[in-house]
Amino acid sequence: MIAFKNVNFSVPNREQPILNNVSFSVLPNDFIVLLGSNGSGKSTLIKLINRSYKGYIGEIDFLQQPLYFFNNRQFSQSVVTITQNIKDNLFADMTIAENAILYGLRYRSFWEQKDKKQILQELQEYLAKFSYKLSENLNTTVNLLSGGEQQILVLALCLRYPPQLLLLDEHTSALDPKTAEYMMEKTYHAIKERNITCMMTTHNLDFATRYGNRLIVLKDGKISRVFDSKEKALVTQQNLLEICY
Amino acid sequence: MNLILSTLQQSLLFLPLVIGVYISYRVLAVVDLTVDGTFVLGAAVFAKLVIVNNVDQYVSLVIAVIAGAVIGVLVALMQKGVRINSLLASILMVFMLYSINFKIMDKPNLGFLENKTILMNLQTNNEYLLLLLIVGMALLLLMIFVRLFGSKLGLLLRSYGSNVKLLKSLGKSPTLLLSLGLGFSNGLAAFCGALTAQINGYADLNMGLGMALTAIGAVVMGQHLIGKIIPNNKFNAVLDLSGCVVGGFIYFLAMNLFIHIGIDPVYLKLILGLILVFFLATANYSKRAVGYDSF
Repeated sequence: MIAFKNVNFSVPNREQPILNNVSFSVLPNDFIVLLGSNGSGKSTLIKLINRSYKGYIGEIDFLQQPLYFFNNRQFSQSVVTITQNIKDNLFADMTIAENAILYGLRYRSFWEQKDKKQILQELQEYLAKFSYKLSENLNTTVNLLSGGEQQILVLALCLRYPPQLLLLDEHTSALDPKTAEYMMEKTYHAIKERNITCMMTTHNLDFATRYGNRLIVLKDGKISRVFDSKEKALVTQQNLLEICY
Repeated sequence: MNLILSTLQQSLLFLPLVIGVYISYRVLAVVDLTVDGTFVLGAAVFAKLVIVNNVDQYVSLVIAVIAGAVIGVLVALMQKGVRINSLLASILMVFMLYSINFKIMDKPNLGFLENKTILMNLQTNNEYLLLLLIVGMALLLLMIFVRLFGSKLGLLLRSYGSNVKLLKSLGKSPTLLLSLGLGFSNGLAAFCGALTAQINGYADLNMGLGMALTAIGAVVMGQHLIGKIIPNNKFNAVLDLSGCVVGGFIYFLAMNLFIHIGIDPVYLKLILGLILVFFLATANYSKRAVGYDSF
């Protein structure tokens, strides 16, 4: 699905490279968890994959093609990112229904005509699987929802037309523990149901060991340790804490 | 014609420009001052074609609007193509348009010596019919834009102002949408300029001075007042565009009243500027209070 081959990434005015000779592969249906302290390069790695950052050295392949082989529309249909900053993922001053229509344009043609009532009914049925409150308030402005509701909405909108790769950049970090737990469960079940490959960055080691099938630990821009599913099953959280931080 | 009716006429004649600035300032959330130049461009192109080249007035009007829209697209390309700051790009374009407008007219102003257009004829012969025509034009314009903002295209234009990064990540082209939005905006400004030239009887190189700020003032005042009367935290094209009408009317009413009570016209811009500062400050405050990010 994704292959990094000797990838280096630096920014001007910083001596140390942010990513230093990083190589790894992600297989279809993997749930990779990236771990590491702040500044270790996790988010940069995610931003290279979703093409937010350019100018890396080395090779990044997506679906056996160079990352920039795909045009914007193809890429936006295949790779979706949910970040910790909820407002980045929503049109905050628009309603839930308007957000859903705009997210739908990722896949639907601009010229496609569909009955408005039917669109809203389909949306209501779909959102009810994630949150009853969201499905009953399609005309509510997103700004008026709580942070947890907003992030559930983002997840629901991102997975309505399943991408091939879902990137989660600390997407539960701004939520309270109970909502974060609910969000993580919803995320996991939704991606398994739809066979989506996933890469997640987090500082929550419990989530990492529970949901990830492989763990990659980054330290100072380098991969310092990789845990496959067997090793992951054996490692204790205390050990993981010492390795990561 | 009494003060209220003449104010209504002035403000409705000004409405295309206010709607244009509403599109850039409120919908796209871009401060675009280009309308200062495209207002004159519309007047200059129209006057030149009608007076010098004897082109049909309707064809001239269409060409003037297209000229304004093209400039709007160019400003969008300056912002997105070569990444010039939006405010700076519009100031640069106004700067360049000064030469272009001068070249089009070949002199600082171009007067209509006879009643060559319908608006001029009506102004001389039947000013109530002229008012009726302007009211009709304003209603038509409002209907067109209410429909536009209710469409998928309107939603996409609004999404540009709401979260341009997300729009890009959804595979849509921000450049295309900004070009469309500023095209509409400056096309409307040129339309307004062409109409104003007919009512004034001439096109003048400096007639666009302060137009962008005046229109921003009308948009902000109108939305603020409509928001007080009908509180609404969702986008509503009818309310917003009604705000444009109300804002324009209040602006001209204030200006006419100041002149009527004998305030030295030299202070007009200062007083109206202070009123605008007040409305901008209170509008931002109320937006923050309901949790909206200020533009």
